[in-house]
Amino acid sequence: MKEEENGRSRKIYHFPRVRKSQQQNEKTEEVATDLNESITASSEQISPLEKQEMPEKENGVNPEISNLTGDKNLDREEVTEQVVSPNISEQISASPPPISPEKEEMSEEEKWKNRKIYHYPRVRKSEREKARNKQFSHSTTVPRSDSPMQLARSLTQKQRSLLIEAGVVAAIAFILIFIMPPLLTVLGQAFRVSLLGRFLALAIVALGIDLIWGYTGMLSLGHGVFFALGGYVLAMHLKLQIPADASIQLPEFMTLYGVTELPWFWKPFYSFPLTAVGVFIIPSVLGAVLGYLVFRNRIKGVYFSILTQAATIVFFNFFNGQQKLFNGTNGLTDFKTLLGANVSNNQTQFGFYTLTVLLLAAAYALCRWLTSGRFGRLLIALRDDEPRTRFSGYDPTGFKVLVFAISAGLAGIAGAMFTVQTGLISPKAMDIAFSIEMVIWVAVGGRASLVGAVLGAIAVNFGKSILSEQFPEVWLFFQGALFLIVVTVLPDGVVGWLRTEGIEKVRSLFGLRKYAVTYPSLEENPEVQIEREELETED
Amino acid sequence: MSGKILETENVTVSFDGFKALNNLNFSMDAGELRVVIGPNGAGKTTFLDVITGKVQPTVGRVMFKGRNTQRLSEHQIARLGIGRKFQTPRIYLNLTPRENLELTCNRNKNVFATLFGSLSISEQRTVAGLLETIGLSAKADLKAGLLSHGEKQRLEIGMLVAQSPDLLLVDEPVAGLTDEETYNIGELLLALAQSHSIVVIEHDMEFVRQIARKVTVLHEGSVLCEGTIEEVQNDPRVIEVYLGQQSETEEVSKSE
Repeated sequence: MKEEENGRSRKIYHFPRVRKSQQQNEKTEEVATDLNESITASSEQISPLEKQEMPEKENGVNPEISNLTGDKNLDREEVTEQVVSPNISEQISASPPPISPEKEEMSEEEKWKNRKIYHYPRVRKSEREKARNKQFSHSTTVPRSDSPMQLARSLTQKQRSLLIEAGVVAAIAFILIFIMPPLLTVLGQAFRVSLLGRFLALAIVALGIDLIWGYTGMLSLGHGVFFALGGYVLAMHLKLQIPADASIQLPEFMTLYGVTELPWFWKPFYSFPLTAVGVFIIPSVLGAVLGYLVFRNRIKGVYFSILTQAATIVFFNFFNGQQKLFNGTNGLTDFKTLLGANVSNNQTQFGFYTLTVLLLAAAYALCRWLTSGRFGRLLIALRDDEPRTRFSGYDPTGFKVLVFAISAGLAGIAGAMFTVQTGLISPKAMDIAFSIEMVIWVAVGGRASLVGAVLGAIAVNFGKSILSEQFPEVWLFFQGALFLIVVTVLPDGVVGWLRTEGIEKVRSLFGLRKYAVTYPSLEENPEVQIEREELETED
Repeated sequence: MSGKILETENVTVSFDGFKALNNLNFSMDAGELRVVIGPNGAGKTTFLDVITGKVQPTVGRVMFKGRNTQRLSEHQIARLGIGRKFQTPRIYLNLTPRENLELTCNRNKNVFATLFGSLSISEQRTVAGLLETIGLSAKADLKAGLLSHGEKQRLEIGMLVAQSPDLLLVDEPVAGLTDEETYNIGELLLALAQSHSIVVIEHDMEFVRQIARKVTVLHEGSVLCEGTIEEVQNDPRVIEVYLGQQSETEEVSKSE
């Protein structure tokens, strides 16, 4: 009985009948699609409605059909509902040329017969869509169907999820700007507002590092250089804001060292627009030049990381030694006014805080744009297998230089905003420990996710400041422990873990079914699980 | 199509004294489907490496469409019209098959076109058609890491076809595939051979017989014998070096 039913259900409607008339020559396609259709048809989960849609949606089938040809050799007699495997092996051992005439006859009958089957994957699909539109998951796949009508419909789905995301970002920015400061003041933690501002600036760097490390696979341990360069650019401008009636028109530290004339490279920073542009452009250009020299020679992996560290040391020593030019170890501090407003004024600081939030949102949008679509996928391809992209015809140099330059520019902006909220920039921001900390934020937050980078930066820094207040002696141990935990238990970072396991936990909390990649009756059937474990332990 | 699409003249590739290729003289007409066979270690994969530019020949030169490919880098050679499928499936495991195909069928491969351009309708149709051909339409949006080995092989062949090169270098396309899938791949290659030139490296003699018109046998880095499959199978040198075991097992299976 079972055999008959399965035999009947094997030869169900296959839409290639339409396409066979177009491509009579490609027997391969027929066989491949026949195989495909028999696989999809013999699973009773497919509704006739879905099958009818198939001419338009060529892969409208649930992703629960996976590993079918792979698993066909396993003995699956306990599985009563979807007896997929015996059918497939029978089908395959049949002779290759398709048995088309029989199939065409049967398909009408079968189409009619199978119209009555309940199709619960419908529910599944909308669950999937919902899961995809949640905040954690950034859906970047191209719409799944291929007919123009379906494309149009799913395009608006993609647009919708983008709009939802934009709305969420805007809401968070609103909360940060208008709600958090008063809230924190009420809680008596007003000083945390400025801390938050600084950490948001650091989150911008984290975004940049995630862009090159999480998506493109380049671990830069020297982003402190670009961060500090941005800070120095803005600091130079701030130091040059000397009141017109002062006797010496030079930053004070220069008079200490007996400098009488302003060095030439300080002069451009008199103007604010130039400074504002320079904060982004100067680190970018430096990053582009450095990147070009490095990537053109195909230096990557560990050697690239060591190079960035070497660059850090070079710049650190240079800035440290230049007392007359940059005030050496002491750095630039004691900022007075910016565009006429007093820098240490509360209102101005709030203005900087707001600006930081907006810049973070803009940086997030930029990174989101870069990492979606074809460019983002190419970055992932570069991370996973760069030589393979060369054989496909891509020259990785240009892509990596662009991404590295943008990441350097973001670090520069972050440096500037950090400087203006801290009131100090010194070569210590260029040293290796700080650069490695930036990488740790991204590692903790989640490597290939932008949200993770931001959250990691804010969380780790807040944790550090709170812990160093509570446990001044031992907070370094906490930092070390954090690093160890992340490396051993959460290699994908917190957000990465949330996306894979966390969603399962939430679902189980709410009593929702586990999202099964293959058939639920296979994945959730305890007998099958036990058998699978036994087979695995045998291997 | 009378021009020779691929020629190697006295190519020698020496790795610290070990000659992977030794005075290899190979030529191929445009539109031909050539199968290269040979024992392991004969230099077949190194041969493909030299053509695609991964390895530079120590001596000799490779001419593609009459043009010396000596100092070109891999991506330039790929853009000239050479596409390669690797021995073990090298696909991007974190992307879906659809995304894999989209990356390779991209016509304009420089930075700004990839950044600002999007898929044209014709490219989308190509990708959809290819997904049907390789039979991965149902799994087009699963991560490629979840596919089985046979499906990964098919995906990689799909990626190669998507690139639409003039010369396809296919390295063991049916390793690990079932008989049914092998037959399908053979039909696909024969269909492609009508408009492309293909070099196939294979060990599976059944498959070779299905697709081959002319066969080249490599041994220890140089060409041992060339001809149709019958000539090659009956050549005593080839039998001694490579097919000796094979013809025994075939007799055994024929008698059954």
